[in-house]
Amino acid sequence: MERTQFNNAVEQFQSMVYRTALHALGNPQDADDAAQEVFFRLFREKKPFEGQEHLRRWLLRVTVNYCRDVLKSPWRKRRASLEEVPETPVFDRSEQACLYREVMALPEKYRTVLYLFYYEELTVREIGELLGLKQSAVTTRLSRARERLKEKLGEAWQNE
Amino acid sequence: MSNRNFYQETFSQVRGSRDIRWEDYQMMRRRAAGKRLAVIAAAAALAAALSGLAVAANFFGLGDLLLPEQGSVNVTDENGVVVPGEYEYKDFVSLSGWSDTPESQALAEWQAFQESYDRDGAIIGAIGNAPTGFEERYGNYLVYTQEMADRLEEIIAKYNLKLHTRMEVVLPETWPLAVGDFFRENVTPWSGYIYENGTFRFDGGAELGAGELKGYGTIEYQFSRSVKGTFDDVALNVGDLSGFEEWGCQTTDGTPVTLGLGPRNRSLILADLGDSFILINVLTGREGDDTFSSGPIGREELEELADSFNFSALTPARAPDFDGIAAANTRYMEELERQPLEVTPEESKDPLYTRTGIQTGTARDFVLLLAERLKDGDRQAVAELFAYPVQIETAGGAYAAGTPEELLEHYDETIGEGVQGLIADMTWDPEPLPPEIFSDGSGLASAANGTVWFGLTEEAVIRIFTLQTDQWSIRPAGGITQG
Repeated sequence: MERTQFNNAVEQFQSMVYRTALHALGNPQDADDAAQEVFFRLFREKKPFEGQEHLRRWLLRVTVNYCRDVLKSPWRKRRASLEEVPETPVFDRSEQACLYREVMALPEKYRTVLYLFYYEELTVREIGELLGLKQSAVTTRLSRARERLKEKLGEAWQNE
Repeated sequence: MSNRNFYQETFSQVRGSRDIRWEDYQMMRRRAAGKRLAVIAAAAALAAALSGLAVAANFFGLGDLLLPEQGSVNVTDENGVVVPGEYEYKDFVSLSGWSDTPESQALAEWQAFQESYDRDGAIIGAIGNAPTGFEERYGNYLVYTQEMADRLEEIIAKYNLKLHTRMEVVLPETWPLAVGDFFRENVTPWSGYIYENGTFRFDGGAELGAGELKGYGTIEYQFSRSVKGTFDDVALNVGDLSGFEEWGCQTTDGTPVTLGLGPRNRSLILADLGDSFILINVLTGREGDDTFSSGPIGREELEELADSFNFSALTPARAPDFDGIAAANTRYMEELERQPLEVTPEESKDPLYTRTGIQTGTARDFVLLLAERLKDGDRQAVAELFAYPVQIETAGGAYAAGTPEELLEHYDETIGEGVQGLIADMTWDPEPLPPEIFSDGSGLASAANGTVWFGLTEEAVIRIFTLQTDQWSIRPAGGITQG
């Protein structure tokens, strides 16, 4: 990919890739590694993108697939339980820190769906296509994740 | 506030901590190319020596490594997206040794148990990330219920095996201290981990210079050394082993190895060292692998990779010095912090370089050069500083120019119109002063208050991409095509 396009993509989508990987992998260090790897794949990518949305979807898909490979990797799986609990970032408000902590305490399958739905504003159908899940499975995961957040966060999380 | 707003406000404050820069990737590529040339001659000589030592018959083959049951994996479409509800069965191998060893038989039983246990994930789903109470003894295994713990104990007792008790990360330059000098100079081990008994694994790269890889040969692999007598629950999906071409040979340090060249993008190197077992999962085969940027390989390259390791240095296996590893890791990290982005200190302090790949001093020289040529009225020399083709827009119309000569036809109505102003913006009186140069993240540098934009071309030379005033502009035709 050409430098200008690449730099624009980094500027626009680095945080998206990082947050997606953070939700999938649950660890800032691994998420940083993932972002570096995903953009390296973009750097090597030769095919043109049809626009920003096409690029965004490509990056999301590559990130999700990369994280899935990492989670499946026999090398990593055995390490995960020994890693220290990462520090919580600093937030403007205490309820935001609570939300971050509770989201990161959820199992991976809930975290990624939550992020794609609430942050990236993908539809249930789009999330299903991206993750290779039936729409009913996405809905179930969303529903269970919301229940858990409601249980942990109380009034701060609205009933839906 | 809606949940969506709450979520977005929260996670918009979460960002990665690393800079991602085109220049770093470019530098990695160039560095790899440079290093490759240096090792080709030596590597080719080693490969030639190795190929004459083929061992003809009665070696243990890949089939002797297979676990008795195939494992199910998701089916993916041509875009790598999982197809819901569709599975295919693949061959799995043990990393611990041939399939008739206690370690591999124990792994097969454990795998069979895991296949049948908590299939819908209900138990682990309920536990989530909460502590299970099984971490202390089973922290290196996927055990989260008493039933799993009991089954694992039963298996290791049956095969007289121990459990791993400790594991530590090993950073790239710590490997010689952790394990010894077991790799040659064309091999780069990245970070990995090591257990209390000397079992270790890491991902790595290797520069190869023989056969089809001559001239561009970087490949990636995963290296595993499993010390016998301890249960290890890692199994490796190798797809379909029936398509592998396999043969045996002996490395130059006298170690017999089994080699399996895959038809697509995976290959294997195996060595039984007596007290430990080596499995190298090579991330390429006869077709190559785009994901890992590894080109296709043949027998020569696989033999060359096998000969890139000094396996005899790995036996007898010994327990690692964890304190020494921790100290070496710390030294490595401190060194990294001193050189954080693999660029020279001068480069890392230069924001313009970060954004454009052009050091500030060089950029200033270029602006000075342009100013000098404008001042001298050297039209041809000015026109030669542009990246072509360009699109010219003036009050009188729009024109295309593919060469300096074509631009000169419109010089008077563009550059000639505003030349004094341009010179004033880019030069200094009475003595030259450093011009103001900035970059907006587009990859281009700008001077003269946004009048001129310049950057590196694909040929890595600096050229003007845009020159513009309120009355006219000269811009790249069909968009910017930088290097």
